[in-house]
Amino acid sequence: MNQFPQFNTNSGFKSSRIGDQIDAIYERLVKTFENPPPSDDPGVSATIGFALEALQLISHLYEDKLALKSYNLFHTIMDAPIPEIHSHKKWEASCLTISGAYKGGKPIPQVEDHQDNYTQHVLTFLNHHFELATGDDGQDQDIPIQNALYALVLTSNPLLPVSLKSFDSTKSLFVRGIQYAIQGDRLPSLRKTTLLFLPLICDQWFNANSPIMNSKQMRSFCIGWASAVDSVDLEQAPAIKMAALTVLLEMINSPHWCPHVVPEKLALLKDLKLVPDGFQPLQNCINNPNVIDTIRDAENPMAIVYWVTTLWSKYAELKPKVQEQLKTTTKEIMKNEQTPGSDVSRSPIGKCLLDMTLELRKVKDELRQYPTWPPNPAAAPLEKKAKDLGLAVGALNTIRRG
Amino acid sequence: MNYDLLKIVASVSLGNIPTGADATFPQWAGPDPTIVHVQAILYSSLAASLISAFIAMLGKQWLTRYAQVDMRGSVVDRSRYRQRKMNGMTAWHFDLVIEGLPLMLQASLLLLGYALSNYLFIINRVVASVIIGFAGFGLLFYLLITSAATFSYNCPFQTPLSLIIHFLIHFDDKHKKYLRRTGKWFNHVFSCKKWRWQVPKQGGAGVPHAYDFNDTSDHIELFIPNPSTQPTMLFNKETDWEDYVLDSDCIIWMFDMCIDVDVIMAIMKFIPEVVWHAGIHTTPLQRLYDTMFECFDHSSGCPIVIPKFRDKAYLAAKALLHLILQRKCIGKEHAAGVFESISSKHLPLAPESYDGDSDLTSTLGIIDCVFGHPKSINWQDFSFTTVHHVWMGHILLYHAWDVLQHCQSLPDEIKQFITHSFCLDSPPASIIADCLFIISLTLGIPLHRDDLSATDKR
Repeated sequence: MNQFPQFNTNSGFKSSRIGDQIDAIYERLVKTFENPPPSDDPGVSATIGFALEALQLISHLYEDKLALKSYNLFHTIMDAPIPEIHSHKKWEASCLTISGAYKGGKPIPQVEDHQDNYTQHVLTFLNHHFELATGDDGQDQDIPIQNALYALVLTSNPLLPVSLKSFDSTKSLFVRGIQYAIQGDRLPSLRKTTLLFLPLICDQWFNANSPIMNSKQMRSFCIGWASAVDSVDLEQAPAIKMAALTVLLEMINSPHWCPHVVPEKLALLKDLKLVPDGFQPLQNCINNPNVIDTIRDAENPMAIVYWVTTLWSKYAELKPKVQEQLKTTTKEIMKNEQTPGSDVSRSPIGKCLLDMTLELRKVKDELRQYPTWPPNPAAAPLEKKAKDLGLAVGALNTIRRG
Repeated sequence: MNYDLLKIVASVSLGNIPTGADATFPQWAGPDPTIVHVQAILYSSLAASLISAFIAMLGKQWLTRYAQVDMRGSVVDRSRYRQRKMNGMTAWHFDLVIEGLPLMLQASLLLLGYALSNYLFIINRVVASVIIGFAGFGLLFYLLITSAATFSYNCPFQTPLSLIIHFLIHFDDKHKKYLRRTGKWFNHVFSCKKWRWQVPKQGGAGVPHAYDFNDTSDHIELFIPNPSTQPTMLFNKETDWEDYVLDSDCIIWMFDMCIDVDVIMAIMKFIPEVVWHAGIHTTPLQRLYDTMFECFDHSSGCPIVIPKFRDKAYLAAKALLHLILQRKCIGKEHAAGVFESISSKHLPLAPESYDGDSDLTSTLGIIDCVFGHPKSINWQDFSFTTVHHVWMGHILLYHAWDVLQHCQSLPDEIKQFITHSFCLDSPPASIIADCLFIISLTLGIPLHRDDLSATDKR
């Protein structure tokens, strides 16, 4: 009796293999929720109650197979025609399943959630728990919200951007929910997940024609977001760093939000060199003439240096107006840097010039590998880059000389 | 003489009156009728003596066969073989047959005494009086010691007759209707079947005792229904049911016979190895409970396990829990009232605060829950041995089965055990499997009979 037997026949539910047992349990759960007893059936409460009890117990077990099954069961439950009187059990069951799916905080392997309504299920779930969390009685909903945000952030669903575009994330309830999730008194893991989620809705939030919340709320949100970023070791979390940079760029690009950006967080601009070419939030910012003024006026002297350095690396892509702003700002910076006995070449602008010169030299060396005639299509991007860098180096040298 | 008589009858029937020599009745020329009577009794005595001797010789052979170990194999196999032979002796009343031999000899002696007395009485009354005197004295003495032995079981002068009378009286001691009962007893003895398996009532699908046996004359087979209609079974179909009956008989016999502590400990250690299915009619439940109870010091009001009896208490508690849960599953002890009897007098045994003995404390905690004193068990405080943890998972599966049969919600102690086991770093697969089976039961997924099983002990 001390050891479980090795089963050797193949009919019915009888296997010591845990995978088979999990299959049988989830198969029964799916059946229960897909075809619940009718509301006038006296057994409906007991049936759903036993299913819920089983879910509560199995939710403590974690393994990849279970996570995938929990994820699929979550969507089944969200679609389940549960009688209204038992809706609280439905929500509880959905909480347990999504918790089982994202307990490990890992993407679910081999998930096939290419249906648009899957995202809708998660958003419906999220809204429900935002409502509970921000309601009058203010229930603690950190875990369900975190799991729902995980489901959106970690999904491999290619239809997610489309689904989110059709979803209005600027509705009052949703905005309050995100504000709730980013606040300092929430679970650190929830705040991290929220940081990861924000880039998915930043277009609706920060590029809206009219502000989605009042100034006080925006200020509060920015402080909450800044403290959430501070709570994370960004060097160990590159995904969160990228998410934070995205949100920061969208904020400073927004006329409504830029006054509320926490100045200390402009230090994140130092890492702009890490972003890939064509990074859309950055492209939006570099040609926005207001951005350079916003950053210059912020109470963070290093922020303008980081931004100017970034702009010089993209000098050729800038609009003429922004180029003029850049030259003017660079002169101001160099003027401030010039102190008796200081070495200009070691200043940030000098270092930027040096970097660009070295880069230019490197590009030219690469170009020499191609014959000058006939023209080689592979050399065209290098020629353009060399031309752009030459333009920037020339302009910066001109400013430096005088 | 017969010829003469026939001639007279023939003459009369033809209307001829027999005359002369024909009309006289023939006279008896053989031995005296008294001699015939005496000789008949003497021959009876001789026959009884010879039959006794014959049966005694056969009995000698039977006992030799019983005593010999004529098979190889493990201790368990040989013990079961011996138990099987012992069960046969009991079923076929071997002791009664052997006890009958002295009775026949005594009857033979009585007949001899009577025949001698009768014979000598017609030859010489003085000599006869001596024989009658001694025979009467012997008979009187026998009657006296039989009476004494019948009235006092502790009397050392037991005779076969006194044992039989005592048995008949004791058979229905309550109502003193032993005469009527004796008839019934004889009916019972003569209509007694060799295999007296009780066919349990069908309890519907999922009821554990819903199985049957087919007697195929040379062996007993389990009834295996068609896969489409097969009820959910509690025990493995490949379980050797008869062997478990033998095991249980052996355990009960040794429990009754042995007083050696080591033997008792070995028996209690063996009890969880047996599947106590519905074919087993007697269990040592009360004895186990008493054994466990004796290991506690109750002087302070709350029971504390006596340190030197810790191992005994643990083995008794484990055996008791195993037995009670399996028997509750099949509704045996529960129906018989043994469970209620123990429950009514049971006082919580688990210590209020954890004392560091995880295995014993957890077992006592579950016993308290089963006997109607539910309490929260902090599984996370425990650090089980793996063997105990695996056993606990399996026995709680029976507990869950029992509870869910009555459509009740899973008890907290089981839920907490599952939660605790799932949260461990790397729980043994068998524990996870048992926990998943419990969850399956919650959902109404029928267990296959192979899902609950016992390992082969050999």
